[in-house]
Amino acid sequence: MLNIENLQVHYGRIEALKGVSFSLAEGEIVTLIGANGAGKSTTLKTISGLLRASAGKITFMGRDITTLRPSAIVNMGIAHVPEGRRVFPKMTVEENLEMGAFVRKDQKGIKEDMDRVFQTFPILKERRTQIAGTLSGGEQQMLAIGRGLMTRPRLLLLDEPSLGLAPILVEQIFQIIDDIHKQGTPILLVEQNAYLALQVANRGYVLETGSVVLEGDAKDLLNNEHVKKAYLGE
Amino acid sequence: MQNFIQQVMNGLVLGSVYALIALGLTMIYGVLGLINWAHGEFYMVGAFVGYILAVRMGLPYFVALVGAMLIMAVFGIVVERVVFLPLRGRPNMNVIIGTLGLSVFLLDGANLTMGPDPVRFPSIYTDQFIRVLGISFTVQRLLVVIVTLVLIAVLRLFIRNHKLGKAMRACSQDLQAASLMGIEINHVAMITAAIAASLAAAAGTLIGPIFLVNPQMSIAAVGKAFAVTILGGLGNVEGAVVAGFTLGLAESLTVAYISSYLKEIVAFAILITTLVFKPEGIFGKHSVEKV
Amino acid sequence: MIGTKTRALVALLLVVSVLVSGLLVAGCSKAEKEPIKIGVIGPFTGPNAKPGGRMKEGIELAVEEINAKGGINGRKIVAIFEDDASQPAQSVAAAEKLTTRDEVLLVIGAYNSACVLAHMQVTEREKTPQINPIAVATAITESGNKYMFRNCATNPMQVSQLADYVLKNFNFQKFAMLFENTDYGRGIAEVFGASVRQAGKQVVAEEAYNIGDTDFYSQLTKIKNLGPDALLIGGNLTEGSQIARQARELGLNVQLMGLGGLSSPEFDQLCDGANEGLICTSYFEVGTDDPLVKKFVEAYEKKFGKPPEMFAAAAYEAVYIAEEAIKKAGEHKNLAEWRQAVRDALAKIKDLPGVQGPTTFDEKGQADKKVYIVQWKNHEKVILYPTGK
Ligand SMILES: Nc1ncnc2c1ncn2[C@@H]1O[C@H](COP(=O)(O)OP(=O)(O)OP(=O)(O)O)[C@@H](O)[C@H]1O
Ligand SMILES: [Mg+2]
Repeated sequence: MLNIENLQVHYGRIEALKGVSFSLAEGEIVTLIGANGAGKSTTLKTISGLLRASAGKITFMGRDITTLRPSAIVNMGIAHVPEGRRVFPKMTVEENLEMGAFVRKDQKGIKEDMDRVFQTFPILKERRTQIAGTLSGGEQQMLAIGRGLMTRPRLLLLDEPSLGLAPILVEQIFQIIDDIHKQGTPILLVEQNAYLALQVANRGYVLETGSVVLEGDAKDLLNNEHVKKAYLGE
Repeated sequence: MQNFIQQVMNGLVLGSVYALIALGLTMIYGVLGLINWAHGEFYMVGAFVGYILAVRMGLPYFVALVGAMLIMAVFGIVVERVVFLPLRGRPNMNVIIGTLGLSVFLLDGANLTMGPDPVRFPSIYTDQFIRVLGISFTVQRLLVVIVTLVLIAVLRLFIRNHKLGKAMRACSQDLQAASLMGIEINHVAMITAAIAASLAAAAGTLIGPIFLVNPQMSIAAVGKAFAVTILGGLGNVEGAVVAGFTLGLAESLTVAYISSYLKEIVAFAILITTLVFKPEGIFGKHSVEKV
Repeated sequence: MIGTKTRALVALLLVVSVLVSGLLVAGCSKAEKEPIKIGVIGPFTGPNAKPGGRMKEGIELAVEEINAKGGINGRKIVAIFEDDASQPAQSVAAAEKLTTRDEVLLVIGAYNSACVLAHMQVTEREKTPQINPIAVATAITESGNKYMFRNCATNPMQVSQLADYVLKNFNFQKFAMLFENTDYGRGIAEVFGASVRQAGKQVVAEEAYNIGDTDFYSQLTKIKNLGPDALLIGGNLTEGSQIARQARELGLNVQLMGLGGLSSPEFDQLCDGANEGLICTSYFEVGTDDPLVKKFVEAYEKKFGKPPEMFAAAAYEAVYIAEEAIKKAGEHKNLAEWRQAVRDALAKIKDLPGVQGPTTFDEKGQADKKVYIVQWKNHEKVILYPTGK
């Protein structure tokens, strides 16, 4: 459903992506793994329209979205949960979730989805009137994911959802990612925690300094020597 | 006691103007992330538009007030498209030069079209007096305070509860995250500029009949508006309102009980103290880094 | 697009017209003696272009009248106008040009005190006599400059004349003062306050404001509570009109007083009735019986289609003072000697009638001028002093 062809992105004169190609099919979890600065976040930001590609093509559900504005891309059903949570710090938990549903008009559906988010993350229900800036890091991450789900996405982009969380919370987050996937939402998952990411994903791509250097089934990548050495610390 | 009440009333009138001007300034900073050095000129142009509608065209005062706000809303949108948009995300120096240029342009434009001399902007409410308990003011002054409070209440409701108001808050807290929610940043920026300019027009049209209208009125106003905005915390809407009234009352009570020589000094003493001890403003929590 | 041919034609026409006009000028000067050159410095553009324009009109009228009578000592006079745009630096350049390049006999000007203070070194260095008709800063005639003469009352002069009049004619006990927080405003308060105290009366309030202020309720509320009999407004018309209006709004119904600027029609317009009964000084009034003033007003109205204002009158008078001095100084071949003779003649002027009253310069070059005391009544000014005019 998502197809990336030869994507190139520049920050001024710095070339951050040097022709990246990959794809994601209906029902899949695909993970992008790579070291710091490899270009993972850049890839996601370009898909969601925050950055402009200097060359290449992004198609989603058969439609070219390379030059669409972020709002149009959200409208097409791509939800991007950015790196570092980026919740609205001075809004309540509930208002943050409402912002997630900004492009939707179906009040009833929104209400249902909000209940579903509260089911998935019971802690958010307890804190619904709390100011988001005062939530713990883990709670903020849950809120960020919940906010992403509020768009009722056809595709969810997750950028390092485990960043800075305690191991027990990391497991919990990955459990939730798996649940979301099982409920039928395909996910493009960017992670530094390659081990967990490859366990939950169907397929994976390894990004190094702006280029895809390896790709394959998640299981195969877990056993790949290069991946083992560089990303699994074995 | 009646002296005190009179001085409080005087302070509320001043505070209303400060609050209305500072609100626009702080909203533009909050959402667009830029400091609008031409904001005093928004106020001045707004006053002239009100003057033209009410005095030259003879429209009823309230029609002129609403008309000036609407016309200036359109003006705000044009300025956003032509001046603010190209400056968005640029280095500070570009923003300062760009908006200062706009300020000079508007000031000279007003000097050329309206002339440098002050004009009277009478409304029927300037000649009606309220005299109770030995205190005295014109109906126009009361109107300034009441209309300001109404506008602030409406704005607050809008920002708290309306979807677009929430989108504005989202933009001011995290522009990138806001656009990931599907919020059309350009629309929010235009609406913000429109509201900011129409609040400035309200200030100008409310205050015009009390004072005089001339191009230079922008200069005195903008200094105070900056003080209020910083005092309330850049980008903080509630802060701007409280700080506006605080400054108005502080000035008026300083004149009453200390000395009129110290009136201006008090404003800037409060400002500097705030900057030293609480640079994020008296009501500020640390604000989010702008993207 | 203008074609090359057209351009060439225009250039040719320009050259011819320059030649022709040069011949014409040369032809004239053969018949007559060379005219006497008077330099005029004033703000003909910039923020004070309006009063500067009045000043220019006053001078043009006087020059025209004098030339119609045959000039001075058989010579016509010409005024050379230099614009200083109220900028001291530009004013200095203007003085340099007039004294050294144009070689004028005498300088009249300027409007702003800051400009005169800046360029008076030039006229002094070039030993060129100067008549200052408008700028009122005391320092101008207090600096020991032997070439500077002023034919208007200074601030302290008009303030103390106002104080004298009010103290003599009203039985006010308590005075309040609200003045702009500048040298000008503080100077007014100082002189007025001193006169009041000397007369054994009380100053109950001295409140200041800044130029550009618009709201005076706080100061006026305070003043109202101190219960004065009269309030002196020490400032210009923009702030002054708002003070008058806001005083009335607050029910502060005491005698208002002010200085020169508050006698202008613009002030009356901005006040919209709040100036009723206000007493102020005035340098020049149209409605007097003085035959000199009547003649001036008539001629000015005929030439410019409107009644003259104080700036026109002051400049007009300055030209006649110059005429008198130049007449007395006689003919000199050498410009430096001539200038010196005119300066000496100026210093000796005594009781020379003028549209602002008689002129006698003291040893500092300051004319002993009386100002009018007027009162606003129903948008007109009634002259309270001098009586019988
Ligand atoms: N705004 C920017 N301006 C200039 N260079 C940038 C900018 N953002 C990212 N880069 C550069 O682009 C490259 C890719 O950055 P990106 O954020 O995509 O990396 P990443 O793979 O997400 O890394 P991490 O795992 O640390 O988040 C890096 O070299 C980075 O320094
Ligand atoms: Mg990243």
